[in-house]
Amino acid sequence: MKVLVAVPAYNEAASLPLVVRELQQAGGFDELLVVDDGSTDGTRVLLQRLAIPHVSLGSNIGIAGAMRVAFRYAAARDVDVVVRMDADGQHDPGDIRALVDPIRRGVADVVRGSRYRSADGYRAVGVRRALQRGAAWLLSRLTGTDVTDPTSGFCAYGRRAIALLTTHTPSPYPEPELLLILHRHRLRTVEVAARMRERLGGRSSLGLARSSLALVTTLFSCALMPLRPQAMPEADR
Amino acid sequence: MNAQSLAIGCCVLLLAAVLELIRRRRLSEEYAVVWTCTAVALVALSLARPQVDRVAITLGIHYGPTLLLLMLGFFVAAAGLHFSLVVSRQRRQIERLIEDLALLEMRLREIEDSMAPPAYQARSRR
Repeated sequence: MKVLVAVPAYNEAASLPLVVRELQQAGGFDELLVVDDGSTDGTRVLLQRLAIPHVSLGSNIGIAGAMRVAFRYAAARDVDVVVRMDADGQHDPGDIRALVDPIRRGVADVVRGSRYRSADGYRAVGVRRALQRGAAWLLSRLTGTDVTDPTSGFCAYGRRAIALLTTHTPSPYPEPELLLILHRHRLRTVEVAARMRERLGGRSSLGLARSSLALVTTLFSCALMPLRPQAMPEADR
Repeated sequence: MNAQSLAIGCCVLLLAAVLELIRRRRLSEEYAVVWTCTAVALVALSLARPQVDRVAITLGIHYGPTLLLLMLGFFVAAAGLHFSLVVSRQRRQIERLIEDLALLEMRLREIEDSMAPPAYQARSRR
C-alpha cells in the first residue's frame, strides 16, 4: 500500500525543516510532498536547498486548494493513502501508522486524528474549546458518528476519498465541512487518538479576526451542504 | 437647471463614458452591450417624464422619479449579483490554473533532473 504524506505549508520556513526531519526519522510512509501554498518567507528556496519533494503554488490559494493539489498528485501517481500533516509541527509523525491502519484493514475510507482521544498533549482552551465542543456536538448529530475534534487536520485519506477530493472543493476552511462532504458521499470516517503538540516554530496565520471569519464561513458552508449537488455520481461510489 | 435637465445630463455623460470605454477596448463586448443598453434606457427615461409619471401612478407610486430610483436599485442589485458570479467563476479558474501550473512545474523539474547527466560526466566535460 503506497502512502503519501502531504504537508501543506504557508510561511512555515521556521518549523518545516524540523517537521521533515522528524518525518524521515519516524517513517511509516513511502513518499513525502510539501505543498508550498504561495509562501512569502523563503519556504520555496528552503525546499529547493534541502531537496525536499515539493510543489510550489504561485499564489496563496488556501489550505483546501493546497490539499487538492496533493490529492491530484496522489491520484496521478496511484497512491493508496494520503496523510495530511501540518507544517507547524503540531502533529506527531509517530501517529501516522495508527492513522493509516484502519484504511489498510479496509474498515475506513478516512481516518481523523483526534487530540481529545489522546491521554496527553496540547488542547484548546477557553472560547476556542467551547466552539470546538459545539461544532463537535453538531457534526456528531449530522453525521451519526462520534466526532470529538472537528477542526483536526491530521487525517489519512483512502482511494475513494482521494478520488472525491481531487475534484470537489470545500470552503477555504475545510475541516468541519469536509466531514459533511464525506458523510454525504457515504465514505466511512473514523477517529483515532493523535497527540497534538505546541508549534515547533513560526506563528499561526489564523488570528482572532480570521478565526471568527473562518467560523462564520464554515457554518454557512455546512448549512448550504444539503442544497449542493453531489460531486461524485452514485455510480462511482 | 431643473432636476430633469440634471438627470438627462448625467445619463448622457454615462452613455459617453460607456462608448469611450468600448472605443478604447477597456470594456469587453459582453458588458458593453449591457451598459450601452442601460445608458440609452436611462437617457430615454429621463426624457420621457410624462410617461414615467403615468406608469408610476398606475403602480401606485405618487412621485415619478421614485419609480426610476426603484428600477435603478433593482438594476444595481442584479449587476452586483452578476459580478459576484463572474468573480466567483474567475476565482475558481485562477485557482485551477495555479494548481495546474505548479503540478506542471514539478513534472518539468522531475524530467529535467532525470535527463541531467550524472555528476562525474558533468565534471569530465568541463
